[in-house]
Amino acid sequence: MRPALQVSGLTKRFGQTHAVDALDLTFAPGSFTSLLGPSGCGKSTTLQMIAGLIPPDLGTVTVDGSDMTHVSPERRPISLVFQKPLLFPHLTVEQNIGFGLRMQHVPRAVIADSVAEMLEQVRLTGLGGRRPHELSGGQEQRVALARALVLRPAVLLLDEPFSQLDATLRIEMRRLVRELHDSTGVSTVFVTHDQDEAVDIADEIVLMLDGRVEAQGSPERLFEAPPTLATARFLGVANELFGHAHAGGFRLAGTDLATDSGAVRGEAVLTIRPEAVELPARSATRHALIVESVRFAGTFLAATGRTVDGQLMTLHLPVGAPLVVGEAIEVGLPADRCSVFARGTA
Amino acid sequence: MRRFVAITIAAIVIAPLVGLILWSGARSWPYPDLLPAEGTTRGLDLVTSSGSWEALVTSVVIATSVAILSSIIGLPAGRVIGLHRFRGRRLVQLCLIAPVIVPGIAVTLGLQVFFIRWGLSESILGVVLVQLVLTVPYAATILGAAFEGFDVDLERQARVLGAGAWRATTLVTVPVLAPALAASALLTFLISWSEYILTLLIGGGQVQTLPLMLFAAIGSSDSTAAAALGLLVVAPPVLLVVLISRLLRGRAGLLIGMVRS
Repeated sequence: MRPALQVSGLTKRFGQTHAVDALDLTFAPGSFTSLLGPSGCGKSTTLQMIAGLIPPDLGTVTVDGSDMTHVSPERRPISLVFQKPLLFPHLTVEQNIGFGLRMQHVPRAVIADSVAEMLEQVRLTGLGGRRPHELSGGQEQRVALARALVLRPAVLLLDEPFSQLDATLRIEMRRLVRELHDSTGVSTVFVTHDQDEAVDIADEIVLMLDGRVEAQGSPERLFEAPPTLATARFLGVANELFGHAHAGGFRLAGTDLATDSGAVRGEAVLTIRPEAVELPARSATRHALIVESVRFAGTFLAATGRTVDGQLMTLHLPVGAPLVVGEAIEVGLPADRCSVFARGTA
Repeated sequence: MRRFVAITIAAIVIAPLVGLILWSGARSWPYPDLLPAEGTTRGLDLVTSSGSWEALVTSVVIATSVAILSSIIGLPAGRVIGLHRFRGRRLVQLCLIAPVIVPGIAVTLGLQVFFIRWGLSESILGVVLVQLVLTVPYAATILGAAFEGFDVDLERQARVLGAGAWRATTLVTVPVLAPALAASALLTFLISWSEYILTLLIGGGQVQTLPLMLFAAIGSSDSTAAAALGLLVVAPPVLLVVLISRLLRGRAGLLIGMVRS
């Protein structure tokens, strides 16, 4: 199947720094991909190069098989929703949504029908006559979404569209975007710096660090088996434990753990997510800890413990787990949820 | 308090006009009398004469052209000043203000030679061009301030939605900046409307505008004619301000504080 969107060797320098460095990405038709990364990693620059707002220094952008690298933004079958709603203040909601169709010289009656349909899809029926300043933040961003989607673009780009909304509204908007994606089948690229948002909304995550792709895969795979230590760190609160990797596993504080160390040998780091740690231990790979703190965190207990050689490990355990500060426990570290990295890669 | 301020301002603006109206209908008005001794229709005749109407039309044509051209030139200039931070920006701003600081007559005396050589003197076109020297800095400064508060991403958004550079400007930038453009056009219209020296120098007396007629009447100590022409000079700008404030009612952000009605 021909990819909906493909970028090859995409590069952009600002002065001496590579904002985006030889990026290769392929997006399948109907895919929902999240471009995840900290601010300044080049994800917004990438999006604007795809939209044609920033010319790349090197590389190509291909949409549905045709080269778009040197095509001006208004001629690309791509819609971009910015962080700000950017509604045109002198136009009504309806006129804002119809703006793109008007640019294509679509007959008025057809525009009116498409706009009415779009208003219903983003649940703003009845607000078509309002001016942008009469809308709430969430409503404004829904108008911006409708204005982008009414053009039936080949690719929909979203540049942190909900980062200025409050938390509950953000979750509601994610649901809406996902719903609109599923009903229209538009290939969507969603830029965010929030890993929870990326996991919640996307089928595929591309993690960008320093202008390059650090990792790519389904949310489950990136969270459970991060391919690099930087990925594990960015995806948050992974325990990092220092030890020695050898052919049979990983030696942590005098105990051998039967993990898959791959090709890593010598000084190494083992990562495991706090919620993957078992108590009582069910798996064969076990380790002794001294409980150092226990904190009730609502739906779970957040505890810390020290290994024999003094390294700190965070555990998220079910409420009611038998934990007493200062006592020794034996926790299970399931081998399939441990990842081992060479120390140099940090 | 607000009412008091409004009444005071109205009194300051309207009181001299009452004097003008009385003078325009007076044949003679000796010193201690409260009202003119004898009436005359000479003022009215002058104002309705073909010479006055021609001067009125000339003035309107010149002021309107100056207002439109200043805004057209001021828009890109204001964009650069307002949106971009570049080396020498302060110098450009200073140069833009320079014609305001340096008396117009000094600039014009230098320009006059070239206008004569290029055949632009004694023509309406020449007068419009020389007045632009004076008005473009105001337009560029007003529009520069407006562009500082303008979000260029609106244009980028319009581009992504299928508008070319031209349509992004005419359908988004210009409407969003409409209040500032109106302020710029109004201000430059008023500057041109009351301009006397530049018109006289470049127009060479051939381009008769209302201020020229007015100054001639004042110069010949004809108070009746001066008062009548004075009223004719005052009327169009007042109408213009009222018209624009009606058009822009409800739109915030006009630089001249006259929108709130």
